[in-house]
Amino acid sequence: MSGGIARGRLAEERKAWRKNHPHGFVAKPETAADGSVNLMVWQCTIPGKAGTDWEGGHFPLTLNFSEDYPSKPPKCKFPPNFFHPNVYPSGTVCLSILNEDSGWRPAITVKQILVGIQDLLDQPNAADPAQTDGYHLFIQEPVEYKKRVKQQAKLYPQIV
Amino acid sequence: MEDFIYISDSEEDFMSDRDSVGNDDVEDDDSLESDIKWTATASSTKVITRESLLVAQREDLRRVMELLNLSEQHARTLLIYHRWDVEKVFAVFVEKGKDELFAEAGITEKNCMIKHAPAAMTCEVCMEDIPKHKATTMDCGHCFCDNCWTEHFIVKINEGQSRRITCMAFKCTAICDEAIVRNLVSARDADLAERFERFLLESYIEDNQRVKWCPSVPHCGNAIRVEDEKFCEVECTCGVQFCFSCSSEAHSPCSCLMWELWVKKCRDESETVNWITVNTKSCPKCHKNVEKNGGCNLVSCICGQAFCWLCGGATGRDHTWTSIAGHSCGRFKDDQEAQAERAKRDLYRYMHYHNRYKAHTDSFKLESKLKETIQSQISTLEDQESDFKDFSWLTNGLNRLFRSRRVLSYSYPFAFYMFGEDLFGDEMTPAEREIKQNLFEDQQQQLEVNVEKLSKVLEERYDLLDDDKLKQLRMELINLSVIIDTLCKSMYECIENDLLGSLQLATHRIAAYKSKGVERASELHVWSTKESSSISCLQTDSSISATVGGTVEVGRSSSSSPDFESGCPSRKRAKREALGNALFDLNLPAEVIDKS
Repeated sequence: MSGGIARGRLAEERKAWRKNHPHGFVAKPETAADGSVNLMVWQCTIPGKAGTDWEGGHFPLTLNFSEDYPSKPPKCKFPPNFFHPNVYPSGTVCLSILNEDSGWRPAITVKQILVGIQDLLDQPNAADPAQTDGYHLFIQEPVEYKKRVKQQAKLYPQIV
Repeated sequence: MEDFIYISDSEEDFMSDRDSVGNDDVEDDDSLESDIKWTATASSTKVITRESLLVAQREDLRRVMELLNLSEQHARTLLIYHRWDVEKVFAVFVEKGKDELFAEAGITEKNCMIKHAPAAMTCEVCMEDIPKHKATTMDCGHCFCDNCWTEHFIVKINEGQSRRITCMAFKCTAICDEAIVRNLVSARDADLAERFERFLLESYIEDNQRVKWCPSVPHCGNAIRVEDEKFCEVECTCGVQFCFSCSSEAHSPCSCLMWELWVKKCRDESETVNWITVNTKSCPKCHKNVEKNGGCNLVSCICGQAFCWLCGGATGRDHTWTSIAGHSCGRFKDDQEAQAERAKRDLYRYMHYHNRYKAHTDSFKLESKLKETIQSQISTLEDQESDFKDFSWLTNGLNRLFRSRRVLSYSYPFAFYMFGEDLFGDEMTPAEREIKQNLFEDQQQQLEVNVEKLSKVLEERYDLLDDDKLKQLRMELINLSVIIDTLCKSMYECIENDLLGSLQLATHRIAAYKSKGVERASELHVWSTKESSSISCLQTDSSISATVGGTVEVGRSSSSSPDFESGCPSRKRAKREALGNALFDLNLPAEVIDKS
């Protein structure tokens, strides 16, 4: 559908984010080599919550918006093979608020998405596994699971 | 008729009476015949047409509206959520209370605290500043601009989610107000608004266990609602008979699963393939399939190639009865032989049942033509001077033939699965199976004999017979009909109680036997007296005619098309009159309709 509101809304999201965003988070539209900005793809960083095994990690996340945004949710991807029960091997995050058939609402903001994914990191949803590795360890070997999570956090230090 | 042994006492009455006044014995026989009259009785099974779709859901809506003091659209939301199960709605209400019942289904009652919003606001979806009059607040209190709402509705309707369009706010589960959706969408896309309307209405069919679309092709547009028994066979007003449980043709006494397997098996070529594997070998030279029709093990193909029947290998032509020159391939392996034997046995078994099934189906098709023949004979007879005035016994006999012929043909696939290994291999020991099979086959045979007799009697040229002969045949026909009806009944009883009923591992259910045939769905009775008075004030306003399901037909109730009047059966016309311009308009707020 032409004349969609995706870009206008994303520009406003960008403004709102610059004015105010949660500590430790990064979210900005992609910039090409020639300096042009692509509002439809955002590069973000989600910090692991303090006091959890995820603490210290700064996890890179890409948001891909479609022209149907905000009628349809953006696709949210961690790097491939990211270790988490609800992340597909491709890196795509499986979360109810990002599912257009259930939890997605057009009024959900980028900030709410990112905070929602941060919550998901330490509170996986056992009812909705997306990868075997992370899911099995989470269910059957909590010690090993913990170890893997901490290892992964170290893999993604803060980029200064 | 030489061995007509089933004649009951009443036959004697008939005989002794036959010289007395003709009218008397007609009364006598009525008692006998009443059992098998094919007159339509008031049916609890209803046909729901495009026009009566809203009326059909009215009763359910009304019950929920009255108990919970709700508007129609909220009642609909509740019922859609609970799949039109009114009892379930009431159960949840009693168990969990009103608040939870509403919250689950996404109903929010109007927020009394209307926020004093400024003249302009920022829509949180498009982030634009919007003057107040271009924004809409839902019952849940969330306010967005009309453009964004419309866009959201269009996406949801196009995705087939019309029945549960949620609010756009984060974590809000409220279902959007029907009227708002309708108004905003129709301003942008009238066709889509109509689709929304239809989706809402058709929820009553799609989401409802008690209602199914008629499976007719091309589709007649009707749906059928049954009262409580899901395992039944129904006939739509379009004439199609079907099994309500699986929507395929009426197939009792086969269960749905048996029928599904049977249809698949018949369609499948596997049996043919099976026969070819069992009975032929392919020629090593031209690869045509060759059947051995006698003689020794040296066979020759029409291409001239000779080969050994035992191993299929090419050979020379010199041979004796026991050996082929220069060729030795040993003997059959045991298991191969066993396998081939088994396949052969299965195939013969299937062919046995299929041939009989097919024979009865074919007879049914041929006998269907009798209907016209008999009708014309009856009209000839009616014109003649005769003691007979009423020939319903003839049509009744014909209907009995059709009915029992169908039962008979479906009884073969039933027996194929009932006494075979495919479905119930573990249910019975071979000895038990044999006893049951004998029991069933005895009944089946008796039925078969009588159905054939009936078929023969109905082949008579009734219009050429004198009164005495007619009387005799009439008696014969009535007797046969009663016998056949009883036999069918007891066959179903045997199946339900002794055969399917005694299964331990599987559950198979069939539609109950109905003497008068598949239940014919009746037109929905549109208004009860109470309702008709309450609605009468609506009828005065001609603008409140129907737009139900997007049809705009009612305006021409005085019939703009002549063929409509002539081409439609009278019942259709009656229905239209009954509905007239009294159809509900979904575009009106529910309150207007309810309070009027």
